Amino acid sequence: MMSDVFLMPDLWLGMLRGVRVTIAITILSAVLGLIGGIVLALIIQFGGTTARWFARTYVFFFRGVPLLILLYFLYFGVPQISLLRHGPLWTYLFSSPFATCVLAFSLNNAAYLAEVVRGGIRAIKPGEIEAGHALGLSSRKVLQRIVLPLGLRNCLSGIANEVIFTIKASAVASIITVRDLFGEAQRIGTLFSDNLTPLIAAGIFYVILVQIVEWGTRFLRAYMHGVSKPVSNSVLDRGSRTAPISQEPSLTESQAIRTSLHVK
Amino acid sequence: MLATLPFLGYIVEGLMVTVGATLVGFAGALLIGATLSTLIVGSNTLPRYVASGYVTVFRALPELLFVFIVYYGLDIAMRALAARIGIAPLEISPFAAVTIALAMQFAAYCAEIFRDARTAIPGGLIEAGEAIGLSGTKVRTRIVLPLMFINATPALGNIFLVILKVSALASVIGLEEVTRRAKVVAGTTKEPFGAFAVAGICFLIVTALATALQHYIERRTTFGRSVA
Repeated sequence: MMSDVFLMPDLWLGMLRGVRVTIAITILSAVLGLIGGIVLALIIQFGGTTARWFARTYVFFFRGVPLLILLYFLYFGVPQISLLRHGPLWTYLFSSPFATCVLAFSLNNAAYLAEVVRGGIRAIKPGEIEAGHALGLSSRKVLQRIVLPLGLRNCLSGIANEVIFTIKASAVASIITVRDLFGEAQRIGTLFSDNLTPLIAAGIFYVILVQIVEWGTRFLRAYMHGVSKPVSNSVLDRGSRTAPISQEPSLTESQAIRTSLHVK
Repeated sequence: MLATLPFLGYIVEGLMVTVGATLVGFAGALLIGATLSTLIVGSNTLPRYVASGYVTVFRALPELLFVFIVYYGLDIAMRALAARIGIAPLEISPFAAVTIALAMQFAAYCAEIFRDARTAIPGGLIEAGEAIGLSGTKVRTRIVLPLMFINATPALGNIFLVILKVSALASVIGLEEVTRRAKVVAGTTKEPFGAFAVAGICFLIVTALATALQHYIERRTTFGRSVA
């Protein structure tokens, strides 16, 4: 019976083992994906024609291909290239299902986060960047101190959506034998010959994980908003309001709807 | 690489199944989503809580997990039902399981989209309709619904593309779509590189076509964008 399996300690111990793997995959691929996404966004926004074309193609490619196919391609397809079956790349990356998963999710995340981060950078008022240059900051310093902090803050909820997406997508990892939350649920299902109950238990864990990310984001956004308030009320800002500099249009309605989703 | 070529047609034919499952799932998601969004904005407390609980849960559940829950759950339900009536249990087809799972899952997103699209309509337009003496039904069918759909088009197009990609997961429960066929071919030819590359390109082409169609629809409906 369903309730019997629900009360088994083995079920919940397995879930706890699995949830650690799911969290590890999510954090690793979110961080790697964010780094890749920032680089891509900067290239698309400020790069030369060729570099921009490459970045755009990357984004189109990895946004268009389903994660499962990408995973199959990296796990089954790439090892077919005999050149890759030797050396450190093979030992540490392609021979381990876990590392292959992190690679696939990072590549995928980078493409989606590139768009998210670019939106955040575009929402920075040009006056703020101009102010940095006027103060005599080098381009590098402007990037470090103005473009990146403000851009990332602008797209915080977009990044959080990506993290939530990665949590959900990480269930795919079990298909290439990674024992994540979903993989554990399936294993326990076979063990007790009850397929449904462990899946429902895993579902509860996924809902909790996603809620934690949502609460964390809400907290972080409130915190950052509190910090930014005095800055936006400063004399400098008021000055620019009386003599408006041409501003980037803010997010349109449809874009706002698009970014409010947890999917891609 | 060359051994994959004779199977090219076989993999590409799987697109029919992929697109079919996507379309049916999308239509179902639109229907359930529209119903949910009317419940969420409605004045009844209980349905509102149920609907927003639905959205919370289904936005958090992994698609793969839910496909399996539907597949196994329907099977168990069918067996129980068949035992009760005393007939042989119906076999649950992977296609049915996948489309039901996709429709139920993405209804949660569609509900949010419809709600956002509804709130994006300026109140003045609805008041204007009432001011010129249109009935409540007329206001709804002539003003609210058309504007709502125009507002929702970009996000709905996005959802369509997501469902298209998520439908690849159906291969795991045995639906003979592109991914599944690529896997079969990879096993036959021992050339997974080529097979999965072909499958990926199939999806890229459909994605590109669907994006072009979406831009076309958005261009055709820009007349509403300026007012909404």
